[in-house]
Amino acid sequence: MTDDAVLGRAIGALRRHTDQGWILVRENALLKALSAFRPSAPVRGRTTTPAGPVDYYVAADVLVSALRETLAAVPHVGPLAITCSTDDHDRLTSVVIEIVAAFDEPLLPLAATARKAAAARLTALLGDLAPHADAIAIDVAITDVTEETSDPWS
Amino acid sequence: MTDLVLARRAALRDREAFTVLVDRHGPALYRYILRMVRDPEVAADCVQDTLVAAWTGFAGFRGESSPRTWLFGIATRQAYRHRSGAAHRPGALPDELVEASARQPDQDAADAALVEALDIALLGLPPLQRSCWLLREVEGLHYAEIAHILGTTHGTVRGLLHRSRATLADAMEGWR
Repeated sequence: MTDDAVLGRAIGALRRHTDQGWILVRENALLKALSAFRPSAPVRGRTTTPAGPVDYYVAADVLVSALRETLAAVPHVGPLAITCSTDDHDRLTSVVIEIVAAFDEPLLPLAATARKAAAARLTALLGDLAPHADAIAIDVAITDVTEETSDPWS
Repeated sequence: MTDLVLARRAALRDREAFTVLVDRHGPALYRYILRMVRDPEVAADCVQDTLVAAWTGFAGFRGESSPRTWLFGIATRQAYRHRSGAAHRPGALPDELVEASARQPDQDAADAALVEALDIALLGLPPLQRSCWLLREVEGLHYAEIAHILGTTHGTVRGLLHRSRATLADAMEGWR
């Protein structure tokens, strides 16, 4: 066997090879990663109680995660990126949402549906401090299309 | 589902997408890291730090490279960071090698012996050559991707690969 053939065979063996160590380390490493702190800006919310209004904070990451779930449930839409902006008082001022849309879908109605769903979710999360759908800047940018009509993420 | 879709979902805090991505590339990341740091305990720490960095950093992933290349970039930085600590320890060769597969036992045994011989040969390579060779020959990254990860040039990658191939061929001579 030539040098190249030996190395080629060894490379093939290594590619097929799964280290036992990975099996042992996978669960803990994954758990550690998923529990890692992701720095996130606070976003102020407000709820009304019998004693009066009470402010609370929601992590921007939580807002993003919730919006992703909401947008993923909109037919023919897949979220690509979601960015939240707040003012000096941690109030939400804008949300920029980029989505991928299924090919041949009318884009403007799709954007309107996505905007409406996002606004409703924000209201559920931020209570009285959630901007109205027509007041908050929810920019929906359709940055890609796909021929897959059932799930544009796939 | 493509890696890019999974990466976008992970950036939006989708844990399931991240888990799928980890299961898809984790074995290769561990394989690479183990052969860079040489010590299974250090490799475990290094893989863990790689996944933490990936999960916390996915929001900044813009898709300039493939998610796989991006992950190997993180793994390389972690391996070099951990390697300085591991360099003071005895150079333990990983002895927990081949996970059984559905192939013939004889083939498995031959592969295991070959992988072990290759692991010994890899110990003879300087870290940069080893990293370069593993990323190209085993993990299949392109020259440009390796150059980006290692912070060097296409020409340097070519030179490193040439030298590492020659060294490994010599070290594996007994297998001809």
